[in-house]
Amino acid sequence: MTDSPTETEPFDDLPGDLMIWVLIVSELLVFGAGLAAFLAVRATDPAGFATAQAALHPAAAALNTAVLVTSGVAAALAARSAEAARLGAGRLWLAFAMALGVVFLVVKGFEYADLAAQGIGVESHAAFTFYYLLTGFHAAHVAAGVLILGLVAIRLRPYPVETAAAFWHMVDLVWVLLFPVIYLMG
Amino acid sequence: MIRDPLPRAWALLIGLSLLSAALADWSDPGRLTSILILGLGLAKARTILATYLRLAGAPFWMRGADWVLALVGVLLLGLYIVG
Repeated sequence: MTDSPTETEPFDDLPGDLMIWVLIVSELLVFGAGLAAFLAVRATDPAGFATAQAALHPAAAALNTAVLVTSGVAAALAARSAEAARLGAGRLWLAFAMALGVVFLVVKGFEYADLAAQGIGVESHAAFTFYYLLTGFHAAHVAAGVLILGLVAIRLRPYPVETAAAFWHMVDLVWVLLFPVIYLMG
Repeated sequence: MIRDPLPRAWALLIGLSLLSAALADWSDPGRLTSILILGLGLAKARTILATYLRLAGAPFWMRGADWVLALVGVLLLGLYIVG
């Protein structure tokens, strides 16, 4: 039996590069496992985790959520502009997305600095070990994402911009799951 | 009414984030509120996958992503409830 000319394979429908999707799913599962471990350990010491959570900065994290989702739409608009060969607009959207990524890191830096000023470190409690591990690993992805967005802005072409934007959306995707579990759920 | 799906998704994400923060700020979040907050997080994740990552135009892959999100959601919810 032969395929009809109009029949499409599932991979034809996948937006963007297959490898970036392998990365997105892998990262989602890695952070999902990290959050699962956080909740599993939390079950052994709910009072200790609640006390630790009270020392965190949910308002700063909420601000960072708004910053990151806004940055995400800017990256998506950059990809759209690159596709339409609007290079100037594409670079502006990428610059905006990068600037918001830097804002995210600065706010995260304030959070870490304030916790350090309270004498809270990685070893203060298991909750803080998970907090620093998960948010620190995520922040490293944000820093890498800012760099990648900057690199693709130098010679703006649709495929690299789309791939960089997909990486950036993955960073966004992970954050919207980290934020409620670590900062908000009581 | 915003016609462009990207700013519409952005507005939805901001709205869901505000709702999460309001629910958490409302009082000490109890079990039900925390489960709602987790649900809102998963809804945000789905919005990002569907619109920012354009899976809405690829139903086969959107279903796959829904399964991955459901797996993560059930795992997190189960561990939260057990705790």
